Amino acid sequence: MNMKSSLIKKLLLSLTFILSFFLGNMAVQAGDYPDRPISVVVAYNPGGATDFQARLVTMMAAHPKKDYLGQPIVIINKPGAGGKVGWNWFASKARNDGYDLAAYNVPHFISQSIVFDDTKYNIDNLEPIANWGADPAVLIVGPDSQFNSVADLLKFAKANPGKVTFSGAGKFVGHHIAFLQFQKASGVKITYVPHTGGVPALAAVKGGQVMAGFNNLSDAYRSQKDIKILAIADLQREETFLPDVPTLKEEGVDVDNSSVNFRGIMAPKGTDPKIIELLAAKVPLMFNDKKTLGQMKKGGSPMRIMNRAEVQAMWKERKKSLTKLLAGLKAE
Amino acid sequence: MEFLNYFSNVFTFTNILILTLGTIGGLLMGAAPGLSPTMAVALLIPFTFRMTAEQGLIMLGAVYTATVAGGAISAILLKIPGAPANIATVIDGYPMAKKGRSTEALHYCFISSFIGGVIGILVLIFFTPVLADFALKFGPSHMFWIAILGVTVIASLDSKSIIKGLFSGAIGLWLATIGYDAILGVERFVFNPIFSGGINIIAALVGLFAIPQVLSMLEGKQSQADQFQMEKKSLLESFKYNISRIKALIVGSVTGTIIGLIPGAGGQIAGLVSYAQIKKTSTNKENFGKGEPDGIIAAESANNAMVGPSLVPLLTLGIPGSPTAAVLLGGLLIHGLFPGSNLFTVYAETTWTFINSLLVAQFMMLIFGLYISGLAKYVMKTPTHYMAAAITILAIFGTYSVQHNFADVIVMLFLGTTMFFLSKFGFTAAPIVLGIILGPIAETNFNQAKIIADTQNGIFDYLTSGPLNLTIIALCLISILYGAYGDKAKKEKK
Amino acid sequence: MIEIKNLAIVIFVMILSILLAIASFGAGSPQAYLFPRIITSIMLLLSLLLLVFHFYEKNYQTETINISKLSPILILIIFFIFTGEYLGFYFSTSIIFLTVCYFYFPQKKDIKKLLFFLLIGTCFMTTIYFLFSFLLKVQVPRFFLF
Repeated sequence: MNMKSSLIKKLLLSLTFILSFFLGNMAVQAGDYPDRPISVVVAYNPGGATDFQARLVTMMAAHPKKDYLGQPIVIINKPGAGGKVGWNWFASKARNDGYDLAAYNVPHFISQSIVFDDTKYNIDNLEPIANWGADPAVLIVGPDSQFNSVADLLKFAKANPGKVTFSGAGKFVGHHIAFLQFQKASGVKITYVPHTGGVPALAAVKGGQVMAGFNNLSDAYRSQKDIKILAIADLQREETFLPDVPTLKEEGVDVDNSSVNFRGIMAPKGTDPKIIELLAAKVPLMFNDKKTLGQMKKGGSPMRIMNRAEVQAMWKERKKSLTKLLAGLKAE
Repeated sequence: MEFLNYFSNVFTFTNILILTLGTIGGLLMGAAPGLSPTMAVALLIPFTFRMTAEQGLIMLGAVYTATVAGGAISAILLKIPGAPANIATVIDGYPMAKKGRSTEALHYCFISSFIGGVIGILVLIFFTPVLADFALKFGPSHMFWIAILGVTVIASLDSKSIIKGLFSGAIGLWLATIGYDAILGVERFVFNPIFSGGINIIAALVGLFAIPQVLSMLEGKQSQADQFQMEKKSLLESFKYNISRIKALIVGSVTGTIIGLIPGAGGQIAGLVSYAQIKKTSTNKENFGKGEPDGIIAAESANNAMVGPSLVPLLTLGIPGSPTAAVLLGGLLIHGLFPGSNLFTVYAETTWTFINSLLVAQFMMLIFGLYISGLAKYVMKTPTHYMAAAITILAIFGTYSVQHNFADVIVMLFLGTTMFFLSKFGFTAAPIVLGIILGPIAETNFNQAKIIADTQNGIFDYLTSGPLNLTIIALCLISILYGAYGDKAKKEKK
Repeated sequence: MIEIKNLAIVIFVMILSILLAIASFGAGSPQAYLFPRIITSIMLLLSLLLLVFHFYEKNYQTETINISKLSPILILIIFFIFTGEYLGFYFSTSIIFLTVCYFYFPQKKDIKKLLFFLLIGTCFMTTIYFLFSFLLKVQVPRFFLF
């Protein structure tokens, strides 16, 4: 008898315990946004440049002494097909309650939405919050490469059409755009070998699996000992990290800044305008945090903080120029 | 001997506390099906934000080591590998437990993990600069053959006939092509929207191993026979025997070390290849698959020996040697540590403290691993119906937590239920899982090889020239022939 | 009880290979489908080998499937696939736990035993909650209170 009553007592106790657990949780959910962790989907592998920068720029979100978001940001990786898997999921499945955000990469998602028929995302069904960085593509070759300048490379490529191999992070990502522009402007035929991410593409250059490649400035900057950086695909030189590397334009190849990789945070369409407004006001402040800036600089990641209005303008402008560049280049 | 200068840094109160908690947590997470080392490390990275770089890395390193070893507990006791690295441990670990030698099997597993782990870390400490160049030599053609080798080896080992084994491997490779092509971005075989993201590796691993086990538990065929007790066994005796199996230890540790260095290959291949090696060269081949200690010793020493070397290309070149190392890279970067020579000059103190702590973590893993496996007897006493329900629910939550995606859970349950019926047809789960894991590696590298080869002498020439390619191809052929020979021998015995 | 004959396995394998081959060769660009085509060709070859060996080798062991014993858990799995996202994970997996205990408990069940299942289930679900929702911050689908 005694045993039975103690059993029921235990049962009741644990039931109360679990109920209070869930009820406590409910009470919190009724509060003001944000009252629980916000997830940010990164469409690339953990350890890649986008992933690690996203982790850095969001690490201060819950800092108790700062008035950013007051809740931690959790990074969720949904990698695949140059970002298509993650962004497709985001545009079609993400909840628009302000707790599902994603990192964007321009030009990647814009060019994919132009070229592929099966993408569910485009600049019209996504709402930018703020931009944190701009990472130009750089032209790199292996440490023992016969090429010491863009001119060397072009001379060899002209003599051996199609034989020069270039690596890059995938199809229709910034590196591929830079490659397409480079090929078009120089008029030589070269071969593009898409990789599954910037890091393996860089390794292929280091190991001599391919002859050259376009890669992120930030990743290339950190591996300067193992590669030669020949040029940068931007309108001006990168003064902070690589002041000695010429632009492709200076080297006589007419490539503009279409391939510069802009990274930032966005929300799905339909998110409450009040929430978007709040995020658009707080997130740039969070990006501008001293500690964040310091960590980003250490890693050679160029910051370019832009507010919501600036990003909207940039997206529209990119869409226009990319549509022109990619005309006639439908994916199979 | 620079690393010795920083040894005392490991032994502060906080660091030891972090090591202890990381090891215990890692062992438990490793034992839970669905929580793989990669995921455990990825999930813990946010927790390191508040720590110093040193403390954060010590925790991640300890968790990495411990999850790889902890996965063996469920592999041996439940026939469900806790992580992909423990697939080879199932082959002999579960039969041994079935024979009433589960304590002994767990002893071997942790002792071998310890020995392999220490050897791996020592390789990391002493050979880092030399080995970095070796890791870079692996191009698309070599990686393609390595992936194929992984599939053929498991097909020849863990199946009733080599043809069915290879067929299972092919099913896995085909399943891996569902979803987007990794480099062209073309969507393939998406018959239903739940497949649009492809088949997630963890969903496949959990589904293919855990669900058939649940179903056969409930079907009642093995519930009575398999309710094995955990026997009492002197640790000293196990230790003596384990050390005497020097050949299995060497084969395991050496294979694990080499495979760890190859970028992207990972623990699952390390365990399998060394298992195949020890089986081929053993004098009592017929005992393998029926509970031969050498099988566990080779597999477990290999998958832990892989941990240290997989950090070599990571720390020197920024190229991760295993999927978990890739996540660890994220952890390094967050604390402002960038791979390359800087790590051993500017940040030498942090780097060496981290590497030394990995060495200490091996000892922790041994002590706590043996202790926790002693507690595992309570798990074994759990009645079937609780066990089956608990495994199902853990599998559901574990799968969901990977990508916060319900479609993964559906895929997991669907694959698992199908696998149960396939297993009645004489197919085994391991080759299918390996096919799914290695499929993207094989295909991506094949396509890259083809693009590069078209600028040279064609794909056939590119894939089959050079000593490295020929060696791996020879190993593939040997494993198939060996499997066919084994089938024939089995039949003649009847 | 369903018995499985070897010939049935061989036929199943052949049909599977043919279906996958049709799917792989039927659609899309040669570049993206090259790898699946190689794989399915190998599968066709292997299934032919299995057929040859079927006639060459005679004594096969037959396996059985106890479908009546399995039906509760199979129905539960199907139920979860269709409702899990809407009923919430904590609610629907609690149902799985209790139903499995109810159907697969080998001895006689009385009210005390059922209460005991409930207790164990609650403890287990609390552990799961602590691990996934509290420690790892996984946001699983929820329903009403859970």
